[in-house]
Amino acid sequence: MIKMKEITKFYSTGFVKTFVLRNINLNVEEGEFLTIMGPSGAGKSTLLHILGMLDSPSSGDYFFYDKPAHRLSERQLSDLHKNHIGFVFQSYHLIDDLTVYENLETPLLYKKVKGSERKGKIAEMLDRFNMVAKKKLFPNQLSGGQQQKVAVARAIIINPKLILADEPTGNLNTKEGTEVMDLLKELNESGTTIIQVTHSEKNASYGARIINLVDGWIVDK
Amino acid sequence: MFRNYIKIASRNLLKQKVYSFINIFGLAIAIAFCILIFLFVRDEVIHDSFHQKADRLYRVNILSKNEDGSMSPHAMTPPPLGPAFQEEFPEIVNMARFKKIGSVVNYQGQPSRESITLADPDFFKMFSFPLLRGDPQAVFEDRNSVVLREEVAKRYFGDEDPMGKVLSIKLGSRFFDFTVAGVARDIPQNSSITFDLLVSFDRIKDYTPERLLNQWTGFTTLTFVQLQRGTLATEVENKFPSFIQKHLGAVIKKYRGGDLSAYQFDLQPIRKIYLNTQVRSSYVAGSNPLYSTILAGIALLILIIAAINYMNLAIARSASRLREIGVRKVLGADRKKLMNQFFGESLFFSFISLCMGIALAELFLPAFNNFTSKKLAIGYFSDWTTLTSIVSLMFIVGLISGSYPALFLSGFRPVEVLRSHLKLGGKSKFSRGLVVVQFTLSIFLIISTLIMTHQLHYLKNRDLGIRGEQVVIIPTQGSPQGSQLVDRFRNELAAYNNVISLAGSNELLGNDRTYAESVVSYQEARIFAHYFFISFDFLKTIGLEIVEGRDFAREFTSDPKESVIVNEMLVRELGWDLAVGKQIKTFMGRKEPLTVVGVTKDFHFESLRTQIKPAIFYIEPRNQQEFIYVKIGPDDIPATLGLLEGTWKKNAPNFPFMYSFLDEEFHKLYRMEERWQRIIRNTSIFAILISCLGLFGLTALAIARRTKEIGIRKVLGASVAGLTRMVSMDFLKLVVFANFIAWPLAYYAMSRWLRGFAFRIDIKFGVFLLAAVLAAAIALLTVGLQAVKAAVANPVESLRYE
Repeated sequence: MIKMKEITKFYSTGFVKTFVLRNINLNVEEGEFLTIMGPSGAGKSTLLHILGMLDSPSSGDYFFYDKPAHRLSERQLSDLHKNHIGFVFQSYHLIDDLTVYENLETPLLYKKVKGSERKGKIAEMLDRFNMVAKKKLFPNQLSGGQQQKVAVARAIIINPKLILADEPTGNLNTKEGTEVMDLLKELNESGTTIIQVTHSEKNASYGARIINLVDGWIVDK
Repeated sequence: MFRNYIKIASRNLLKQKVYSFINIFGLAIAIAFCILIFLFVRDEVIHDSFHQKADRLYRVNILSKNEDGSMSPHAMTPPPLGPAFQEEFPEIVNMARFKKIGSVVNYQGQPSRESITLADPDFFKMFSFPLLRGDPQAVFEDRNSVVLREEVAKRYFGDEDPMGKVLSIKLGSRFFDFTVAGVARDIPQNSSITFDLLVSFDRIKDYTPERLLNQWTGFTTLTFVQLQRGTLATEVENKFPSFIQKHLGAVIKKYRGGDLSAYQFDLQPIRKIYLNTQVRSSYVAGSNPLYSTILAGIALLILIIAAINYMNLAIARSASRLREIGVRKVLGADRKKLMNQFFGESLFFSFISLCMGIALAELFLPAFNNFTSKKLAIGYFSDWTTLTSIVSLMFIVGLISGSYPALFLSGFRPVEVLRSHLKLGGKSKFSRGLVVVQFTLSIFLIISTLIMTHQLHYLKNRDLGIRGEQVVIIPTQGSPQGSQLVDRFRNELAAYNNVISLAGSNELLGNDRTYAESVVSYQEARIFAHYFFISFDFLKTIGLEIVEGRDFAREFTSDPKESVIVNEMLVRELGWDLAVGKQIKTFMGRKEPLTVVGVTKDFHFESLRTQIKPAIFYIEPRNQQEFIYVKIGPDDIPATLGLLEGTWKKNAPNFPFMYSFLDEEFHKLYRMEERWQRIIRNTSIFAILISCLGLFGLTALAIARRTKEIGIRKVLGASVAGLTRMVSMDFLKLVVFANFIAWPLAYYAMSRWLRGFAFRIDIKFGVFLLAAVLAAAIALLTVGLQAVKAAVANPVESLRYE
């Protein structure tokens, strides 16, 4: 599903190049649950962003379903985003001015899903996440865990092939965190590929495979 | 999708009420201003376009060569020109001469002053002045017919049917009966041609000798022609040289040494008449297109500033919208969708602003009409230009103001947006430059307003050399008793204490047009001088001081025949040391040499736009005066005016009593300046308001951006006063900078304006300082309040917030 060959990423500040990722080679098969771990500043999030095509590598090749992601146009990228990839962020990133219902609706709107089908899907999600009573609330009226659940719901409402989660439990308490992780596990078991970035050993244990990043390199533990 | 956008937009609007209000209100003010200016300029530009045949109607102008070889255009043409044109040029299908005379109309024994218009029968075929009653083809078949304007008809006859009613109209010195044969609909506001009572041009014969009517040297009539469809004006104009030779050849030989290029004719399209102030004609009021251009320029500037203000505030708010943009991108929105959203949103806001702007424009329209002396209305559906202009205004504003978030923010990579706390606006060169531009405009307008006000005050209060207060001027209106009216008034009013002095003159002091001017010669020297035919006591009545010699006096029996009084300017121009006793020759009035008996102080008889010119006073030999001047006492003026009216009614019962005060006549000269002073003053208020809104927004932005900095500084021990100063100074610097740009601009513009006056104030430095202080105070007030609020806030809050 994912093939990365010699991916590097650096930022130029003046005459100095600061490397964030060095020579990353990574393959991910469909249905995997991959965890990326490493200390702060190791380049975990950057790798995740490149995987999600929110950022582009400085050099190297990246194939997503054999498509060269580093050479796709913006339109093709946004097509991938709206059809195949779901994101979950540490700070949820819900749209503040939209209600729970409308937040869930937004990706479907971009995907041009018809009205009746949209309603059905949103109802299904609300039901599945036990949020029916909260559908008219705004994000700031929800607790962190609830917001993250909405974010997860929003990510999976398009039935993505791949879910990218950037410290999904970072801002949550233990109980909420466990709930979200269980959710991801459940999704993985039904066939969705999941790649997560985390500090927590406990979260990492949900996944089948772990890679460690230190100063931009993949290291074996 | 669209619903989703609308929801976001309106929730944003309600969440940040103050910002939204500033945003929308600022834009609404600018839109209202633009609508008003648009109406004004449009009204100026489409003058006379309502005639169906407007593109084929022309006025014939005459260009006459000046001594320096340049050509001066005049609209007044000789009376025989029109008929000759029609006869010799087949391209001219219709022709109408046009002339206005002041006259008196008698209806059921009630005299009233009216302006009578004479026009040839083709008039109604050429111009689109629809008749409510009567047949436009036939109204002038009877030379005793008169056509009234709707409002005039109503004034005379009320609800009665005016057709067939008889009015007695004075032509020359006699009254003639006219039958109402038509009623014309009231004339559109933007018509250069106006009339109240219209009679056949043929009636000119009733008061002008045949000889004069056929003269090619009297320039007394306007001539309008209608060309055949498809004929170009130049085709006709090319034939003019031979026409001039044929008809004007003799005249040119006699007066202009046979130089055939001394006169030229020119066909001026009727639509071009109004905005051409070059061509002189007393019947048609023109307007200087420069003013329209300036106003349109200011309106555009204000609109752009308001739109950019809006954009700045939108940027400020987009700091909180950035995450939304990032999320949307992650969810699969491409750039085009985001652009659509932001353009859609700003169009939505500009639509609200537009509605508010229209409401404001309607609200201010009466006041605007009042100070522009126009009757403008927003014709939403009456013509397509207004509606399309207003709607396109909305689109322009919406697109300009939405362009920054739509084009710039949508291009961000989502990672940058989601990760870093990007904050925009407030500090950028662009938005600071904008504050400078806004305040430059405001300061420029403040200075202009102050200087214009000062100059107007000066114009109205300068010592004119005469005492115009409590001098009543009564026009004798050519009443047959006119020659004796002054004497009768003098005799009958001699007993009254409140009538201090009384005299006659054939000139109305305090106007810029009608003075008789002719050559005065002394030995070899020849100069031009203005002529005043006056009666005894005139100089005393208007309070004009004699500096050498004496006033005319009845005991000198030779005075009416041989004596003149001149002003100091004439003495200076002829280089005399002693004026009394000098003999001069004039070419108007008297042929024989005249002796100077006195010299008056220089005084202003024209507006202060022009220099004082040489003047010369005679006793009018036939005592035929056009104006009676009465100096009255300061007590109980209404009673004295009543007395004057009574005396008038007794002596000239067929003519309405009319009067004005001499000082008012002088003030009337500056109406245009007053109008422009008002327009500039109100514009500057608009500009200041919009600048303040912009500054307010930017301050809010800057403070939001610096909340953390302010918090840290406070923790480190900065005082509230110090912090307030820090935040305010930042903006005050910009205002100071704006001053340095505005000052030379205002100085230049105002010097240009003042150059139009021979008598003017000096531009004082204090005006600039005052404007600077005013602008700084306004800016401080706008900034300071927010600055204090930010400085007083608890630092813990602001730091945690970050």
